[in-house]
Amino acid sequence: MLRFLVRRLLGALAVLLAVSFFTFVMLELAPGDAADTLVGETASAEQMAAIRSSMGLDLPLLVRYSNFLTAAVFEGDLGRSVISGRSVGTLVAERFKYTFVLAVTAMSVAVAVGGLAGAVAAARPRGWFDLLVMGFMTLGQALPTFWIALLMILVFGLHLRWLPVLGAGTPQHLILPTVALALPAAAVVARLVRASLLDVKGADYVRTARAKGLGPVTVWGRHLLPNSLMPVITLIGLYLGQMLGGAFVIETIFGWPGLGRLLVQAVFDRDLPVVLGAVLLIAVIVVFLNVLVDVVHALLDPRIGHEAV
Amino acid sequence: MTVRIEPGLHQSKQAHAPLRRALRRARTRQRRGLMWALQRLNLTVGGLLIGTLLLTALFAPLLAVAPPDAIAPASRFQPPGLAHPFGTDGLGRDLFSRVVYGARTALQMAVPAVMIGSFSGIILGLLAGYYCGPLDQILSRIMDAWLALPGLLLAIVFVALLGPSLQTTVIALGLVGIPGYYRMVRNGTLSTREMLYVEAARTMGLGDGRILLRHILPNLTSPLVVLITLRLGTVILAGGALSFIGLGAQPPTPEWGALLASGRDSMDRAWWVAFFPGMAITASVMGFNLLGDGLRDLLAPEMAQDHRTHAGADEDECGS
Repeated sequence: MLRFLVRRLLGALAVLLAVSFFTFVMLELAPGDAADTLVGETASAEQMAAIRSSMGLDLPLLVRYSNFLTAAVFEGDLGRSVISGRSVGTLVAERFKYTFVLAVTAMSVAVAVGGLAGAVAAARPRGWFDLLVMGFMTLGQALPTFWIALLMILVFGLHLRWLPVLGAGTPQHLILPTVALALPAAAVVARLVRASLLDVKGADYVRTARAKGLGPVTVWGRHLLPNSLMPVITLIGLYLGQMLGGAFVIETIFGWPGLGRLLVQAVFDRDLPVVLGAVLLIAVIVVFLNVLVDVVHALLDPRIGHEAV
Repeated sequence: MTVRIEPGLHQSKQAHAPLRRALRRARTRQRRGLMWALQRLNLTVGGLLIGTLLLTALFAPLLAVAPPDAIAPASRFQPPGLAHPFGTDGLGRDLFSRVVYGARTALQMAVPAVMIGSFSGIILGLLAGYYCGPLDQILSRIMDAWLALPGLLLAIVFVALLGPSLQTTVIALGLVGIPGYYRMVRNGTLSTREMLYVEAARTMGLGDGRILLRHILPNLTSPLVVLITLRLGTVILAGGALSFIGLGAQPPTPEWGALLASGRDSMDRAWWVAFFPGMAITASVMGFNLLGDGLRDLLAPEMAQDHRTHAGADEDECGS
C-alpha cells in the first residue's frame, strides 16, 4: 500500500512538472511578453531592454523556467500580475475560495440528485421512472450549461425576480450557478449509478445472496451499493476536478469571482503570469484529486494496492 | 431473415400459398424494420438529428430567409413571426438565418478539430502501441499529463497563446482531443500486435507501415467511428462555450455560442435571441451523442464498459 502510494505520488509530481513546463514554454512563445503588455508601444528600445532585464526577461528560457519553479515551490511566489501588480499567489488563492464553494456545492447536489435518480431508475429498469431518468440524462448531457444559465437568469432573475443573477455574497447568489453547474453532472452521475447498479445486480454473488434468503436491505446495503460505488467515486473525483478547473463559463455568466473568471479575464488582458498561476493551481488540484481517487480505490479494493506494485 | 421450411406448406393444396408466404415475409420484414428502428431508438433519433444538421448546413442559402449578416435597423428586436421565424436581433438581423448558417460554422469548427485530433492521436497511438519501448513511455506520460487537465482549460491556454478566433478554437479543441484517440489506438494496437495474422503479415515480409495501416488499424475502425462521433458533439459544445465567453469565434460570425452571448444583454426585451441558438446546440450535441451511443451498441458493444474503468490507468503494459 505504501509503495503504491509513493508510486502514485511520484507519478503525480512528474505530471505536474510536465504541465508546468509545457504551460510555461507555451506562454513564453506567445507573441509579445510582459514588458510589451506593461508599457505598450510608447517606450523606446532602450527602455524596453531595461525593463526586460529588470524583469529577467532577457535570460534564456530554461533559466527562467527553473527560476520560476524554484520561486513557486520554495517561496510560494508565482510572480506578479502585469495588470494590477498584485501577487499572483494571493490573487489565485483569493479567487479559489469562491470556485471551491461553488464546485463542492454543485457536486454535492449532483451526487444527491443524480445518485438517487439513478438508483431508483435501476430498481425497475425499463419502468416509467427509468425511461424518464434516461430521457433526462440524454438531454442533460447535451444541454449547454451556458444556455441553461441564460434561461434561468431570464426566468428566475428577470421575470420572477426571485434570485440575484450577478455576483456573490449571499447564499442566494449561489443557487443559480449551482443548479447550472450541477445539472449536467447530475445527468452523468445518474447514468453511471444506474449502469453500475444494473451491472452488479446481475452478478452471481448477488443472486447467491438473494437465494440464501437475505432481505432487500442487506442485499442492497452489503452487496449492491459497496460494489457499485467504485466507478461512482472515480467519476466524482474526476468530475470535481473538471468543475474546479472548468467552471469558468458559469463563473463568467454569473459574475462569480472565482478562479475561472480570473483566468478568462487574464486571457483577455494577456496577463500571462496570472494565466500561468491559475492553470498551475488548477493542475495541482486536479492531479491531487486523481491521486485521491486512486487511494480511495485501493482502500476499497484490496486487489489494487497489491497488483500495482 | 432465416427461411423456415414449414413441412405442412409443401403439401398445401392452396394455390396461393407461395404468394401468401411472400406477403407474410414482407410484412414481418417491415415490422422487423420498425422494431429495429425502435429498439435502436438512439441510432434513429440521432441519425435524424444529424441528418437535419447536415442538410441545414448544406442548403443554408436556400433555407435562410435573409443573408445572415444583413443589417436592418428598422426591424430591430422583432419577435418571432411569419417574416422572421426566430425573430431579429439588436441589429435587425434575421435570427433564423443566422442559426441556419450557424450549422455551417458548427461543422466548420467540429470537423477539422476532430480531424486534427483523430489524425494525430491515431498516428501516435499506432506508433506507441506497435514499437513500445521508450517511445511509448514518453508519449504515454505526455498524454497522461495532457488528460489530467480539464479540456477547456487547455483550450483556453491555446487561446491565450494564439488570440481568440475560429481558427484558434479549431486548433485548440483538436489538440485537446488527441489523448482520447491516442489511448484507444495505443491499447488496441498493443493487444493486436501479437495476433497470429499480424505475425503472419510480418513473416511474409510486409513493412511496418503496411502492417499498421492495413492489418492493425482496420480492426480499430468501429471504436474509432464511435469515438469520433461522440467527439463531434463534445467539440460543438466546447466550441459554443468558448465562443460564448468571447474566446472563440468572433462576431459577426454566425456561431451559436456567440449568438447566445449577443442575446444576453437584451434578454429582458428579446428572449428569443438567447433562446433559439441554444436549441440548435442542444439538438446537434444530442444528435451526435445518440448517434455515437447507437453506433457503439451496434458496432462495438465491448466499448460500453469503457466508461466504468478508471480513466487514468492503462490496462496493458508494453511487453517485449
